[in-house]
Amino acid sequence: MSASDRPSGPGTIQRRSFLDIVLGLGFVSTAASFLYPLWRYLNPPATVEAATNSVIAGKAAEFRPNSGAIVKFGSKPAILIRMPDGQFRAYSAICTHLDCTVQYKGDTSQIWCACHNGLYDLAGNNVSGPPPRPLDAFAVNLRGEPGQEEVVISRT
Amino acid sequence: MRSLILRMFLATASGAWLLLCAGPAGAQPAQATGCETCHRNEASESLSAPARDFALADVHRDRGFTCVNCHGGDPNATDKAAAKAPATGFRGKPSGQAVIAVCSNCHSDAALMRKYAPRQRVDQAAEYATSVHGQQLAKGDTKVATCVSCHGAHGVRLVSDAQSPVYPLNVATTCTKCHGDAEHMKGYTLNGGPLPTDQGEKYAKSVHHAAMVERSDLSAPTCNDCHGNHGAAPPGVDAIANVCGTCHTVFATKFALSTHAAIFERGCVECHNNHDILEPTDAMVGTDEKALCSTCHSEGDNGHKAAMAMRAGIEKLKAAISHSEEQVAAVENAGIEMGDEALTVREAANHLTVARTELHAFDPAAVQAVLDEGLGLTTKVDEAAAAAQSELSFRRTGLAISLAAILLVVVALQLKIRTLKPHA
Repeated sequence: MSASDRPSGPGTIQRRSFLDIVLGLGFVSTAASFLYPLWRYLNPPATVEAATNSVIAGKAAEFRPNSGAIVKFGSKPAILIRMPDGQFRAYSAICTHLDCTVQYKGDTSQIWCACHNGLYDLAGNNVSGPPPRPLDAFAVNLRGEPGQEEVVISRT
Repeated sequence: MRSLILRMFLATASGAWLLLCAGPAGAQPAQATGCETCHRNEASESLSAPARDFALADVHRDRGFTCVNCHGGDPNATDKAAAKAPATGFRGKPSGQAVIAVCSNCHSDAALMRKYAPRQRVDQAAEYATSVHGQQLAKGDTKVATCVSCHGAHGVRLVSDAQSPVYPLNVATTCTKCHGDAEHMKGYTLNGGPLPTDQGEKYAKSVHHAAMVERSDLSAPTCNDCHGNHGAAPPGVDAIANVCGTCHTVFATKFALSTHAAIFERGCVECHNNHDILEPTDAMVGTDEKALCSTCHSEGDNGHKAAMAMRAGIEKLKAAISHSEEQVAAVENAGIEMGDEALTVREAANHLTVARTELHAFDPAAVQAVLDEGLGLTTKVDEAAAAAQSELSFRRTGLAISLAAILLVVVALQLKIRTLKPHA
């Protein structure tokens, strides 16, 4: 008497029925694994912005001494300053007073906010006007072969 | 004999004077003197407290000064009478003008102060003479504040010491000890009425107080930043815009260009108050009930039209920025990078801030020019967001078509399988 011919009693499942159930579950699971990402693509969840830890501002040679440039650090502005001696410094470009974007003033070698005439020195310290505290500082490193270095701005 | 006595007296007196003027030889903390030995044991609190306070923490003691430098007397004498004999230069507890004289004896001496605090000013006494306190004292009013009223007499701390009564966070409390006391201020007048004593309560509601106390911004103004410290006096009507302009430079420059500069009797104070300076809002401008402009301007006049135009322009840019922010957020949330547009929206917000500043010149055309620049930026962002939305829609349509094609193939395969004959 083979196993397949074994009579089924109360509470027992036929082999064919069992396989159908397993295949059905497999089919539903597979369909869900396709459809769920599709659903999330069409209806994306509200996400918090990923924190940016570093950006490449460009080639060092692109920034002339005694100049400043606004670069994108995530979705916020940063100011990269090349000092008269060629050194780089970077700070958040968001004025600590009312969030305006600051700029570099080459004639006085200061960081200036045009909105309310706030001034910061090249160490990022608030020295005049309404800004209540210094600018947040970033680290600046040069990466690459001499003459081809990239300026990398990163969180300290 | 008389000549000898006179010479001895002069020698003693000049020695005492030199001691008062020259200060200690070194900058080592002074040791307890005979004065303290007796005064600590005095039953009277008013006599024992000075010795106790001076011994605990005192900037003068830390630099080697002793009781004698301010009070005179002979700390080495063994009995009270000898210690306080006239020949010792004993002057007891100075009060009124004598306090100013004792303090300025050193603090107005540039050569002496250079040894201890080279950057410290030496014109405090001259400034004090110009203050309301100094002028009242000169008239014989001994209720007014002198040096010790604010700095303390014994246990004097540096201004930079957080426990000093003149540390920025403590100045308002120190001033209101007298200026918040209605009984003490009784008899003093301002513009014909009694001098108010609610300045401290009003200041506690102000943005300046919030900046200093809640946000620990010690650069925020407290009483002495507007009134002066040693030369304390209410700023004159003509000086108010200048006083506010020491920090709010751009506003002061714009306001000076405005028609209101010649009309407003109290300058900035007309709209912003003096002690209870609240957070400014856009609602202050305009023609509705909450707007300050409508207190003077009525419908039909140029000021009314200007206020309405400036407020409408500001509200329009605010709405445009808000709309652009929503558009950028929606597109970024769908997975398309909009970093440049986010920065452009921030730039538009800068223009809103600049327009609020420009508003102080009360020139609607100048305000509108700034607002238009901001609106131009939000238009660009909206266009970029619309293009991104279009791209997103295109991708979704493509996805729907490809899914439909896959579904069609699945169904077709199913139908095909049914038509196949089973193996024999």
